[in-house]
Amino acid sequence: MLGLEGMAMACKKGFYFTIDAMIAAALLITGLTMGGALYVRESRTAALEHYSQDLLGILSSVKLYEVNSSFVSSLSASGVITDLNNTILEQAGEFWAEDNLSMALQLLNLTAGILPAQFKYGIFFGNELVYGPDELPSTSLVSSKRLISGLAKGKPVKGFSSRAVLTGFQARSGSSYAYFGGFVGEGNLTLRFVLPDVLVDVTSAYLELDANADFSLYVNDGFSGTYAKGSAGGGFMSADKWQINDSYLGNFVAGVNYVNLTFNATRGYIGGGFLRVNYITSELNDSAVQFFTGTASQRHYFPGIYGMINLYDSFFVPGNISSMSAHLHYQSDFNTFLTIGNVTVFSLSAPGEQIVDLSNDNLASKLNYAYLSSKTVPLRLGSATGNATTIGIGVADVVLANDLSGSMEFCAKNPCSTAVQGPERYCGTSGNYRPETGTYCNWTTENFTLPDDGAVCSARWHALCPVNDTRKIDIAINASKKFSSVLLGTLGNKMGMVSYTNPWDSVVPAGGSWTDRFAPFPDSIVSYLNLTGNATEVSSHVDKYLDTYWGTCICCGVTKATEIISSMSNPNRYKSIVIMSDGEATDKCIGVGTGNAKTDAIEAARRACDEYNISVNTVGFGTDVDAATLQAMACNNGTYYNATSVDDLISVYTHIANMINQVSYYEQVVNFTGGSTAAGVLYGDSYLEYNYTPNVVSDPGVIPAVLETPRFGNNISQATLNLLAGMKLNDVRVTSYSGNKWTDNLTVTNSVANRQAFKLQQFSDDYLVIGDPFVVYARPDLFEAGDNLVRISTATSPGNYTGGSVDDKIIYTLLIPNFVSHGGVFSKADGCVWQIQFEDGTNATFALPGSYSGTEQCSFSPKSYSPNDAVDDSIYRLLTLLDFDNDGLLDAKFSAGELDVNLLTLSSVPFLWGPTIAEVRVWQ
Amino acid sequence: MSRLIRAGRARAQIFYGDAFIAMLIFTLVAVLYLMLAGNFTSPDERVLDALSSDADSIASSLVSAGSPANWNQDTVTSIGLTDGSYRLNPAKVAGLMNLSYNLTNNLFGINANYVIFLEDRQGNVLFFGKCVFSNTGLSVQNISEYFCENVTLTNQSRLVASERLVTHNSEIIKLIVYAWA
Repeated sequence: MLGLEGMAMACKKGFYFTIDAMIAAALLITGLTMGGALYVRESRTAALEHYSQDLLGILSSVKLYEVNSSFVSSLSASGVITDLNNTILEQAGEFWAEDNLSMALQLLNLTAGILPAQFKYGIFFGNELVYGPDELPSTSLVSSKRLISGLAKGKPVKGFSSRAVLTGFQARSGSSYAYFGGFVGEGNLTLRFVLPDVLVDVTSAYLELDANADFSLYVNDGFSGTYAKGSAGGGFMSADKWQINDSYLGNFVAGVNYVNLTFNATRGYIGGGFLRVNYITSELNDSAVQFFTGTASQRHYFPGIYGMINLYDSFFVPGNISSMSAHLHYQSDFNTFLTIGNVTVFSLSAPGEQIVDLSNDNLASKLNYAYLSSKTVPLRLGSATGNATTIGIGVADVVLANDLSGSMEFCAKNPCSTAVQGPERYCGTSGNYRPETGTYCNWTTENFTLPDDGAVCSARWHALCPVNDTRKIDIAINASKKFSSVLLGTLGNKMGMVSYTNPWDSVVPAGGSWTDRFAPFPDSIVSYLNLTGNATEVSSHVDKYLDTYWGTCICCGVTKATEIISSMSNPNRYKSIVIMSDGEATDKCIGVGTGNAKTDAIEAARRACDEYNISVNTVGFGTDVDAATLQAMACNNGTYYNATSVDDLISVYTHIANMINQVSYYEQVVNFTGGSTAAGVLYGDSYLEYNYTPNVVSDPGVIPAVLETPRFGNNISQATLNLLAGMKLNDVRVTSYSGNKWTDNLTVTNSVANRQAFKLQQFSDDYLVIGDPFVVYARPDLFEAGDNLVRISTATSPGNYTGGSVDDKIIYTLLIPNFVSHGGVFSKADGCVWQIQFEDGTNATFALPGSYSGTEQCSFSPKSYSPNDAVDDSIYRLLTLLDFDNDGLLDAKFSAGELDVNLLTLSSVPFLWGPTIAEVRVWQ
Repeated sequence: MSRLIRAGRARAQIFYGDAFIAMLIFTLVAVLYLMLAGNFTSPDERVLDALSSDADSIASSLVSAGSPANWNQDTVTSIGLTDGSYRLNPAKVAGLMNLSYNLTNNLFGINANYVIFLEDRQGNVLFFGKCVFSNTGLSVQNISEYFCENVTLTNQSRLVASERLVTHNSEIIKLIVYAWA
């Protein structure tokens, strides 16, 4: 029970609770009432907001030139204010950054008296009061803020920015190219090319050609050296690379030049290539580089050909063709035709000198200009009559090596099963011998004749084949004849023969004693035939395969075949060995030295492939072959074939011959059976002319820079062209040594895969009737900044891609601007004495600008200049542009004192400090 | 020991009941206040708030460039008197002066009476073909369309003003909107 005191205490606590509740309610009501009062009065702050926003807006939008203020005028006149385009806020901010608060205050005083007296305002920069009363707001306050870049307290407000313009120079380096087509022949050749009209010097000349014979070079009728085919890296689908001796450079002249190739062969030709002349010119742009402005007109001059006219070429119009015409000047005993794309636009059989002009009306009626525009168009100009046709010609040198071991005597379908007989005398000598006899074959001694040794006696197999069966040697004879007929059916191919066994040392001269025995084939080679294109000769040789002999020295056959090819072929021809064996390798051969007959065979094949670029194909004949060894021997794109039966060997041999034909097929030469090749002439004044609207229009102030990538170095054939951002491409050309094939496809892969730049099939599925480009053009718009993977391929027919040449490369022209625009902002703009190295190895020293008299030293490479100097910055950027190939050496050549650089330096350029917050606070 | 426990329980019951009553009173008073709070503001203040809102709306529109930016009497869909950057366009002001009051009423979207005029920092009303823009049946004392001095609006008990700043002829001036019920 609670006492009175307890009750009182309890009541007192309850009273307290009630009082607390009432106090809380009162506080709540007071708070809400005050909040409500503020809410009701919120509209009163609208005026503050408007004033602060409007003041800030006006200060940041009204420019100084709009202000009618004597203060501003006087500061402008005195040079304190340098930019009347500044807004009031910007100028006040600059004064503040320069710690010139009094001027900032006077400038902002333009706002004085605009607000009613009950309103106060202050203008702040970086939270520092610049204008307004230095007092605390009495009641409400509204603030508006804005960011101003380029300002920071204590930092300079204005600096210098410079640009450099190259308005003249003494000279610059450049390159001019003269391209041969995919096939230019057949006879002595001339080619027209252009050097700049103002030619200061020719620094070097370089010739890269896939020629079929040695030749002498004449430049503008001046002898310029002799050049031996294959002497400078040339080979199959690759070019010789010759640096023309400096003593001949004087033969080049400004403007139009002619080079002449006089071959040491009746039917000389070029399977692609170019002449590059490096020069120094004082022209900013020169006529040696295709350079496009507005509408354009160009001529594609045909080469002069003194012989059978046979040209596979291409041309490219970098824009939309509006009209075309052609001028042909030639003479030929045969029908002469011109095919553009796949359309023969001209064909005439008339003796004597002919001058033919094909008008635009004529060509326009036959050609689709829109289809030909911006494409590499195959161009074919040639001669042919009913008795002169364009055919393929092979360049294969092949040796077929047949096994003449004893087992080749066996019947193809009936196995040889023998039994050992009693001992007898070997060839009537004192030597003991045990013959073997069987149903279809006998191992006995016998007398026979060897071509070089006359009558001899030794043990040999003899077969007795039933009807409908044949000795394997007879099958090999027939198959070899078929092989030769297929391979040599293609003009230009050659083949040789090797027959091999082993160095059996038990042959006795007829009537001789046991001690007289000898080895008739110490090198295991029974017979051989050197390379020949005469199928009858091959057939006669094969017909001498009357006998078979003893063991199987496969490596001996390979070695002999390699010896024949290496001694008789040349790097331009396709080389192959086809070696057949019906059993295991039984004998090692001299000079290989692996210690084992089988590995000797494999090693001999490897040497042929690796050391002589010979493709080794192997054929296992019958059911007892050593397939593993033969498979291991196949190399350099060679293949192992298994022929188990009669028909198999013939079909395998035929297949191999056809394959070799395919990979070594068609040089685009003319086979003629009448008339005289000497009578043909295509004069070098013949041309194809086209007018067009260019895709790339160049500014007149640019400098063309022709650059090359390294050789592709692979047969895929592909390379990457890396372009820096901002580079402007004028043209891109990819060279292609297609050899005996056609260049038929060019793709560019960057952000988009396999952009089609060229596809020969777009013109015809029959490549024989259309031109073969050596230079494939790619539209500049297919390329992007960064890596561009360029892939080019060749083929003999659509889809039959066969890769390209290791010597392919990209030749491209960049358009380099002759100026650099304003760069960053720097604290000074003085200049420097520059040390510069040029591409030709010379050095120069420049004071830039010319008025610079200081001693500061700068260097382009290695990069060294003041990071605070606007002039140095612009000079360095300009020099960087003039280093076309980014090797630290300037490609534009200047002499000291002759570099004319126009520096345009801007002072009072805002820095990029800050930003700083400008703020207008308004209160009551 | 047991007595102490019982006394403790009784005290707890009393405290609990008092606390409950206190919370009830607090809640009751708070609810009553919130229900009646809306009536605390006088009718006049509510009208003034609405007028202020209208005046601000008109002034904000006038500080803009309007729509279209180069509007005229035939094309105007929103009335603005500047270039959008606080620079007054006198042609637009003159254009406003020639618009019908009813049209501006519709374009501003308000029903209040209003008068628009521009004043320099010395308080002089600027003349743009007219001194002020208002309805033709203007009944406000001392406001005249063609006599720009002595613009006073002293007899209106419910009168609000909205002032904005713009520039004109290299000077900062005031754009003033008066609105009244």
